[in-house]
Amino acid sequence: MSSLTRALVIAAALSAAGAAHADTIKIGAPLVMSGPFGSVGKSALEGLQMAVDDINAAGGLLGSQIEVVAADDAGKPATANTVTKAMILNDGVKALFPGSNSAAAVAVEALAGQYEVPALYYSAADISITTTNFNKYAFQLSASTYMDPRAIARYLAKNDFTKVFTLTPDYNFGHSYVTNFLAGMKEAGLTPNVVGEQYPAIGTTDFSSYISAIVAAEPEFVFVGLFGGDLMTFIRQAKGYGLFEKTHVGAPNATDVLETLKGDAPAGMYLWARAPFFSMDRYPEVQKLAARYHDKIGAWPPEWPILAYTAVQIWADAVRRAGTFDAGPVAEALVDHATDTIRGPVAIRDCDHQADAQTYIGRIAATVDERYGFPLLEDLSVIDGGDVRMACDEAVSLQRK
Amino acid sequence: MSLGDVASYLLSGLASAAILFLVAAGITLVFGGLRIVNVAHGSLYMYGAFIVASPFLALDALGAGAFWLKLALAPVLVGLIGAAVEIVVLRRLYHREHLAQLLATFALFYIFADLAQQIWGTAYRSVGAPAVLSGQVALFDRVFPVYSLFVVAVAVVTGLGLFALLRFTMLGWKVRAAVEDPELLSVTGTDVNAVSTLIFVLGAVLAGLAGAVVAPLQAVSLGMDASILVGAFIVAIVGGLGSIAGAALGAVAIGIFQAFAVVLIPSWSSVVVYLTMILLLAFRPEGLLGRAE
Repeated sequence: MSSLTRALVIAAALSAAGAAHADTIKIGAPLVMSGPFGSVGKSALEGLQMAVDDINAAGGLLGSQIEVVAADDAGKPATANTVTKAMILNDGVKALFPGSNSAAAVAVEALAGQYEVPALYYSAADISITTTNFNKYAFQLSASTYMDPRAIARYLAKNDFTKVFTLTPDYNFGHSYVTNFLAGMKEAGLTPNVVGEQYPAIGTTDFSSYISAIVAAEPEFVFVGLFGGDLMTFIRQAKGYGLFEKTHVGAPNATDVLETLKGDAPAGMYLWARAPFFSMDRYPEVQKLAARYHDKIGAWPPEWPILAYTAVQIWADAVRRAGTFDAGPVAEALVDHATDTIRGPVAIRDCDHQADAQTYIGRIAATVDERYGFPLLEDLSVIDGGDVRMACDEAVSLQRK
Repeated sequence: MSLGDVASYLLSGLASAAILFLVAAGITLVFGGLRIVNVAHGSLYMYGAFIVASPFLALDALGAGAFWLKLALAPVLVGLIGAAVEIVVLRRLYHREHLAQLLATFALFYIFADLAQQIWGTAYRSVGAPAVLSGQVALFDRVFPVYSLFVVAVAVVTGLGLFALLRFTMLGWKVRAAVEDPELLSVTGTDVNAVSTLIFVLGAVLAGLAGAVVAPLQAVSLGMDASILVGAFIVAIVGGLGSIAGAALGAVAIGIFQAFAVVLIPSWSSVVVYLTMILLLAFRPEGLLGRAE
């Protein structure tokens, strides 16, 4: 065969192969999959993949099969920028499902706006995503840092706690978390008396001096905004000082705390979370997903796979209604419509693309649940996001700045 | 501030100091003995913690005793890793400039971090202290964890043991001689290479012990290697690199300073450690008990 013929044959084979894949649509996922928060991205990816598998098994989306393109951003904005750009330009992803921290989220949001690719957030929750850094292609499916603390303040209002001590990490999230909590208390009709405010650095390994300070101040409620390893380190050490017997303590990341500390999780502590499957009995699809995750991974899921699965569901539904994968029509279809998801109906409002995301709050039970090997939340409340969102006027004016 | 308050802050300051000392002791020993700034010390610390926090099927069957066995095993295993590192990597760099050695330990830091993710994954691990150490002691109107007293005890015993080792044993004499004048030491027939390995292994054992002891007080996870480093290095520098007693003094000073700073000047408490270091070094660059070069 002459070299020209050979070249033509190869070209024909390649284009045939290319044609066979023309029906695959790609979605991108810049995730934190390494370092101290690697479990967030890794578990989120499982949820994304399960959602995509279910869509493909049911015949695909608008006749096309969906494929997930995932990359590790290590929680760093520069890396997030690089991997997301690659996904957009090389893989032509039609949507982004970022599963990382707020710093990386902002980097991705800029690209989403620049290249006009819808980005659906479910892990990063900083208020700036829907205000100062907002663009029309960003969508926030979880309770933002504005909403979360207000939900907790509402739940606590019935207890009439006024003497509070706050312990949050030393960066802008930690400070705004406290500001929002105190504002939420006032909105709920309480007058907060702040007996202490501490901001330990992220990665603090030794909280003993902070714990001593908290005990000395004799607060009625300790508002803890730590997360990840720091939170669990704090809880372990605080137990030794008898903190949970002396006062009421509340913190986020319920699933991490319960699933890691198990029987050692202090009974009576207040915990909140976005999607703790074990408190979502009313959603059988969530229980099925949890069981599926447990079968595959061998551990019960944190909230990320559930939130990620829901995000794909919401996007897919918008695509079906828009009849296209094009960013403009999909972005319009995403707002002002209540989508039925595994965790109930989710609606995204227009002014800042903030969903009416729920916050689950409860207290750690004294006994371990036999099914899961860790204690569950009792005295449960579900605060509707619609009640605690920022007023649209305020959000829009921040967007304009 | 009541008496109970003061006692509580002092004790929590000492508890912090104990942990800082255990990690800083290894750093200062390796620097004093080998003139190497070992960034991978944090990795060895993390590995010690992971060993205690991981299931070892054969050992866990022993129930409560498993913790003690893992506590003894961790420093040994980490010491072996240290030996491998010294022989394979660092020994080739002693004649190179300090920068090459520093970069090598940085590279090891990243390699160990990646390896840890492969071996132990990204999930947080949690291990409880054995029941005998899980209680609390009452102090005035306060409560103090028994385990923290245990950590202080381990730090004191380790510090005294190290001091005795370096001051009163033949091995300690050789270590100190290797620092002062390696050529003269080799003339006496001592294998200086072996002494160097031993120094590094001792540093690694200390790191592994620190991680192991601290494991029940932490969420053991990736990132532990970095978070302990800065504080421990500051203690080692403030105390004077190369001085075990200096590391102890530095740890106590910084631990107690920070405990009171958190209460008295909350907005500045995270800065107080760095300010202390800067002020001290401005007046005494070799640290509290270091030797001026």
